Order: sequence, then structure tokens, then C-alpha cells
Amino acid sequence: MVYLVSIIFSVVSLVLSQPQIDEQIVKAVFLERITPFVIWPEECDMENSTKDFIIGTWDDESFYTKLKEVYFDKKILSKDVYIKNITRLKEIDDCNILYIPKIENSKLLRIIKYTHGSPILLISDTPGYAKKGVHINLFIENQNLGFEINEEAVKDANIHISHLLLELAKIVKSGSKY
Amino acid sequence: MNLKKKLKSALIFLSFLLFTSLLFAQEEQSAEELFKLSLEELMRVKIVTPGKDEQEAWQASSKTIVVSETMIKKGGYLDLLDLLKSAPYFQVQSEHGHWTKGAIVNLAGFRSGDAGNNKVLLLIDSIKISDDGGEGLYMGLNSIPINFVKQIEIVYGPNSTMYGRDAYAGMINIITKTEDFAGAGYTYGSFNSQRIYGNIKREIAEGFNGHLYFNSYKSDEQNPLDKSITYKTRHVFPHSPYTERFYRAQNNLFFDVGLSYKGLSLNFIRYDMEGSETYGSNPDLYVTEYSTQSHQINSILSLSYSTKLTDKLDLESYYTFKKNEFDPKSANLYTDDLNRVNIDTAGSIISIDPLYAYGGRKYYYFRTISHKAGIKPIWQISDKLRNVSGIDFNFINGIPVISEGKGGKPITTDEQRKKFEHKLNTIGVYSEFSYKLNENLLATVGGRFDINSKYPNTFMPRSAVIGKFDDHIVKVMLSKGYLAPSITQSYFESITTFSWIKPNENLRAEKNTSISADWSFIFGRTHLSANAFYSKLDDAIIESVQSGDSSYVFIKADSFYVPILQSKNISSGYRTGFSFSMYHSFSELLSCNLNYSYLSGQDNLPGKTIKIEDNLISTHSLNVGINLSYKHFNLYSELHYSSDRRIKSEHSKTAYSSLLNPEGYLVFEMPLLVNLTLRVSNIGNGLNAFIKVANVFNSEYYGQTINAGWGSPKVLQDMRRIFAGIEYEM
Repeated sequence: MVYLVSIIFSVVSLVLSQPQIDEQIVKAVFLERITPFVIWPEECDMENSTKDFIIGTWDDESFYTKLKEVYFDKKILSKDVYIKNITRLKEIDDCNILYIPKIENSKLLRIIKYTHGSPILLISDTPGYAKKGVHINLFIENQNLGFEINEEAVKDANIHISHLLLELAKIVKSGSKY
Repeated sequence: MNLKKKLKSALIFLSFLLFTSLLFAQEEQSAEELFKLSLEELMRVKIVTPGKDEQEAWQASSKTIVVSETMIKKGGYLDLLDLLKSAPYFQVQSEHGHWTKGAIVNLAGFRSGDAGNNKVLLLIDSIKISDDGGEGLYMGLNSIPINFVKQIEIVYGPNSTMYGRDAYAGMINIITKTEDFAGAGYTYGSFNSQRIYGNIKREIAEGFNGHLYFNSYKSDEQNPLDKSITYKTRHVFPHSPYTERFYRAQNNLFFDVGLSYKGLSLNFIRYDMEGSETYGSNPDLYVTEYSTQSHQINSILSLSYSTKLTDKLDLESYYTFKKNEFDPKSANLYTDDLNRVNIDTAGSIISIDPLYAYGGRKYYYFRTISHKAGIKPIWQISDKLRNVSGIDFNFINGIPVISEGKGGKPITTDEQRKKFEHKLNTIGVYSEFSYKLNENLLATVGGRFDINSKYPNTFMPRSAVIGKFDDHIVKVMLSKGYLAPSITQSYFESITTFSWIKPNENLRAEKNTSISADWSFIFGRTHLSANAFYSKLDDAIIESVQSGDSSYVFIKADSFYVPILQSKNISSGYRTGFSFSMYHSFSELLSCNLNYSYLSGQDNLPGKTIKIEDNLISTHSLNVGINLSYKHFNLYSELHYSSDRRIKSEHSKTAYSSLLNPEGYLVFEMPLLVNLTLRVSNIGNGLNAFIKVANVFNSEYYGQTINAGWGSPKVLQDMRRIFAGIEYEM
């Protein structure tokens, strides 16, 4: 049996020859990479570096944990990053970014309704979510990360997105069929 | 297992750890590299891991641990028992339990005893699955599939304030997926075991959701209609391995079907389990060897409604109907036992004719139906103050676990069975406030009052202070839980002749008052957590060989000799423990986790003190897991170590005594157990495959089902088992 285990280890180690990129890490880094192209309204006090940049994850321990790992020594817009996992609507209020995983439609609609008009950038990675009102929806195409933006919904949130970011994105509108 | 063997296993595992650490030490933090890329460059990075990655929250949390779907898959956990072996403070006393329990599991030093796994409350989506009769029979741990879950939450400590009866030592809540998904799988393994499952959850129309989860498990591990293998092969006692095979459910069917529309949900869950137990090889008992086929059906129908009355007030209401039915299908004893003769070491005959007391009876029969309903308003009184209150009604009708009389004459007649004439009713009122003192501090206080029809009323308070300081979370909690007397405990039965049954007027709930402190900390890729607790036990019923399995109780001037389970609540005592958990991700390729638990405590009986260390509880437990991920491959290796266990025995005259150490203890040496799971994800179009090897080194070790006085002295635990499976996910 010792030999069997050794063989398994050896085979696995031979196969492991290149580093891999974890999808969740790429998505986590993406959040920071887009922030220079996003302008939050003045009320968000983004210039004040003493206030944390807050990223919320909606009931997603996995991505929350990953964000904690990725941002434990990183800043966004010169601000310390605070990550929190959210299960109640009230907790969304102070977020700058809210990540929404795949959830029940009724819950998604409740979140979108609750955040309507608030300067909280909603980000997801589920097909169709941008058309339902999420601001930025990530997707994987040919093993590359892509994203779509619901410009209309972003405007409603009083958030401005640079044309440089819009040029890279697929633009979608609310309500149309996916 | 001897020291040499232990050291050898440890050396192999440590070599493996070192080997893998060195192998992956060179892998730099890929996130660091990604932060240097422009957005355009980031978008061109090739992504090879299609699914979500590990959720290791359970290593970081001490009070409630969360085991995610990802961790379940990576760990190759096939059922709930498989998973609990890796959880802090859990100890498997025997992988083979009575009836359909599947295994006997002890939590935080609380022994399950003959009553089953009744001290841990089991829920699916917060619907109580544990039987309301309080028998613990329905914790068929190896019969509970976990391939449709979002996560499993394990809550430590008593929690009767919110959950009422039987939230005594802890709770396990299986949370099913909330999003749409579909999947199916097939697993084949040792003993020709086959598991087939299919799960689907869909939003059928706007706001209208439906799901169906199905799981079938079959195995040839033991044919209940055959005589036990042990019986056939045993000629002289003791004959290692004493009892080769005990109980293992071998034909399990599970399905869960549900519909929901907005706040309204209707759910039906059914467990249908068939199995057998082989019991005995104890020459000091009448019952020396038997094999029983048993069948259990556990059905739950649940209706719930939740609505938002105002911005600050939510209301939840529910009704649950549950039917638990347990029916041994074959007789216990072999007629061969009629001719059985036991001879002690001096050559004297000490017992003959095992059927004298157990006259060919069909064993226990048990059935309950229960209705439970409640309403729960959740009120956000102000920004800082929140309240959860509620009222629960629980009506239980059943027949107890009771024997048919000598010669096959039943004590509980067919007529009584049909009427479910034994009743236990409870009405509980509870309320808990939480107040945010400031941004970092939260305090909670609450309590529950239960009015019980057959035993004194109970009050269960709970209070906590929770602090959140940067990445640290600190909690100090005081909580209380109670274990309600079971239907069986509500009646005395004659243990000698099984000829009478009387109401038990001594009934009281067992109580556990616990204070605990938790700390958790997340720093980058390292998660640490620690927990310490002290639990005080009152009105307890302690089962051990030193307390005996039967005792005299008095009703007025009359005394009766009855099973201890049905006796007075005369014990007190305490449990204390400490646990430490750590998770560290070295890189995207390599991560490891560790859980260490220490347990101590004692039970006080009149004129006697029994330490839990002398009652089958290991003082030290350690689990170490190492996870390697690369592209589609994931290798998870897991090591379990427990310190040796022991229990006092009173068998000093027969051949049994040769098993005991000089102090008269039956000692269970615990080996280092290693499990390996290799998983290949997304082979193509959602197809995954895995192979799991449990007990890789084929270590021989033993467990104990009840105590050293009743039943087989030692039961062989699972030797190496291999499973391979494929899964399809849409």
C-alpha cells in the first residue's frame, strides 16, 4: 500500500508542472482593476483614504474567503479594503461593491430593488443577471474573462463608468431576453 | 495498533506532507502577479478552474462550522457519517450502530448510549429530521446523502432556546442549494455497494420553484437473512475479530421533493432504510449472537410560509407532520443458540439456554407520528435592537420501543399500535433580543419556556456577547439545552420477563448548561479558530458499564428492575473541552487544515464517579487534511488520530477477562487512519470523476456499540474501502 500511495503522489507531481489560475482569484482581482474606471458620487467620500473600501458578498462564504485572502494586504483606490459576507439587506448599505452569486430570482430582485438608486456597484457572474439589473456581469468565454455592463442600471445608481471600461464590455439593456 | 505501526504511519504521512510542501513551495502567489496586469491583460488570462474554489469556512469557525459543497466533494464525503468523522469534537464510538443508526457518534464528550444518536439534533433546511419520539433511532448517519447540499452547518453546544427539546449537545443543519442546478451521479465500491443519485432544482416560473432530490444506496455488506459470519466462524471465544460485521444499512432510498411560491413552501422528505445488525459474541450474556433485519421509514411533510408584514417585521409560520416507523422484520435469535453453553475459565457452566428470557420474541417495534406547528415574528425594532420570538406546538403520539413478551406474546398489542396511544405534548414560547452596543459589539439575551405534558416544565435561557475587531471575532456564550424523555422512557418494562409495562412517574428532562468562548481570526491565507467550553449536566441518565445497564427504581413502596434508560434521572456531572482549528493556503495548489480537540469530564452517580475518559471517550483527537489542486485534478488526503479509549468491564470470570488489562479495562487502541480522495473535475461537459480510498493502510481497530457489559466487547471497524464514482453537473 505504501508503494501504491507513493505511485499516486509521483503521478500527481509529474502532472503538476505549471501554475494554474483560479477563476475566483481572477474575478477577485478584477474588482480592483476596474475601480480606476468607476466614479462613485461625492456622497461616497471616495477621496477620504481613512474610510475603508467595502466589498460585500451576498451569502457566498467561498468568494468571501477568497476575497479576504486576496485583499488582506491590498488597497483599492488607496483605501484599506474591508470584506464582508452579507445575508441581510440592511447590511448592504455601506458597501461600495456588492458581489451577487447565483441565487433565487426572487432574492435577486429583492436586492436590486433594495439597492436601486444607491451608489453600490452590483457585480455578478451569472448569465442573464445584467439584464435583470445587475451593473456588471462577468462571464467566461473561450477561457477568457469577459464582462457585460447594464449602462442603464449603472446610471440609475448614480455611478459613472469611464468609456474606457465600456469599450471593453458588452453592453446590455434591462428586460430583454437573454 | 502498536507504537511501531503508529510511528510508521505517522512517518509516511509526514513525508507526504514534506514532499508536497517542497513541491509547491515554488508556486508564487498568482494573485500577486495578476495585480500587476492591466485590465486588458487580466481579461486575457486563461482560466482553467471552471468551478468555485474551496470554501474553508469551517476551519476558521469554532462555534458554528460550515462545510461547503466544494469541501464535501473534495473530501470525497459520501454521507453524513463520513463527514462527521472530520469535524471537531465528534468521535465515532462505533462505525456500526444498532438498528438503523448506522454508527454511534459522540459529540463533545456526550455519549450516545443505547438511546442512539439522540443528543445531536439533525435538520434539513431547519426542518427537524430527528425523530420526535426522542429515540435517536432515525439518525441513520450513513443513510443521509449529502450530494444536494449547499453547505452543512454544525452548531456546537446546547440550543434549546430557539429549537426546543433535544438541542442538547449540538445541531447539524443540512442546507440545500438555493440556486437552480441539476446533477446526477453513480458510485461503485467495496461490498458491491452502489449509489445512484439525481438532483434537480428549477425556477419553473417567475417566483415558482421546484426541486427533486433522489438517492439510492445498495450494498452486499451483510445479508440480514443470513446467519452472521461471526456466528458461523466462531468456535471458541474470544475469537478475533470478535464481531466482524455489525450493522450497516444496505438498502437506502431517499427522496426530497418540494415546491415553493414566493414565501410559501411545501416539502416532502422520505427516508426508507433497510439493514441488519449482528450482535453479540459476548459469552456472559444470554443473547450471544443474533442477526436482525430491520426496516425503517421516516417521512416528513412540511408546509411553511414567510412574509414581510412591514419593513421591520417579518413573519414565519410552519407546520410539520412526521411519521417514524421502525420494524424489525426478522427474529433475533438463531435456534442454534438453544444449545449454547458457556464455560468459564475454571471449567464451570455459567449460563445456558439464552431463550429463557428472550423467548424467541420479535424485538423492538417503534412508531411515532407527530404534529408540529409554530409561528415566528422577526422584528427589527430599531437600528440597534432586533427580536426573534415564537411559539411552537408539538404533539407526539406513538408506541414505545418495547418488547414482545416471553413466548412471543406482545405487550404492546396490535390494537395499541394502531392507536398510537402514548402521547407526549409540548408547548414552547421563546424570545431572544439582540442589541448592537456599537459597531463592534453585539449582545443577545433570550429564553424559552416549555410546558410539557408528561414531565416537569423547562426554562432554557441563552445569552451571548459577540465582538468583531478587524479580522478577529470573539464570542462568549451561555446557553442551556434539554433532552426530553423519549416515548420509550415514559414507560417501564420488565427487563426480566417482559411481562408488564407501567408509566414512568420519575420522568425529567436531562439538562445541559454550557458556557463557551470562541475566537476566530482570518489573516490573508491563514484562518485560525479556537473554542473552549464547560458544560454542567443535571438530571442526567448515564449509561456505562459502571452505572450498569439496568437498575432498581421505586414507585411508592414498590421497586422494579428496569433498563437504566427508563430509570430515574439521578446523575450529574460536567464536560469540558478545548479545540483549535487552522487552515492555511500555501498557494493556489496547496492548502492544509487541522483540527485538534481535547475532552474531559465526569459523571456523578450516587456513591460513584465515572470519568468520561473511562467511558469510551478519547481525550485527544486530531484531524489533518492536505489538499492539492491542479487544473482539473484535486487530491485530498486526510489523517485521523484519536488517543486510545477504554471502558471498565465487570466480566472477570469468563474468557472475556483475557481481553481486559490488569486494571480491568477493555482498551481500544486507536490507529492513525488515512483517507485519500482523487477527484477530476470537468472532464468534459460537466462530467466529474473521483476515487476514494478510506483507511488506506488497512489498519485494524475496534469500536464499542453500547458498553462493555452489554453486547460484543469489540466490534471490528471499517477496514480499507475503495469507492469510485462519476458525476454529471448541468
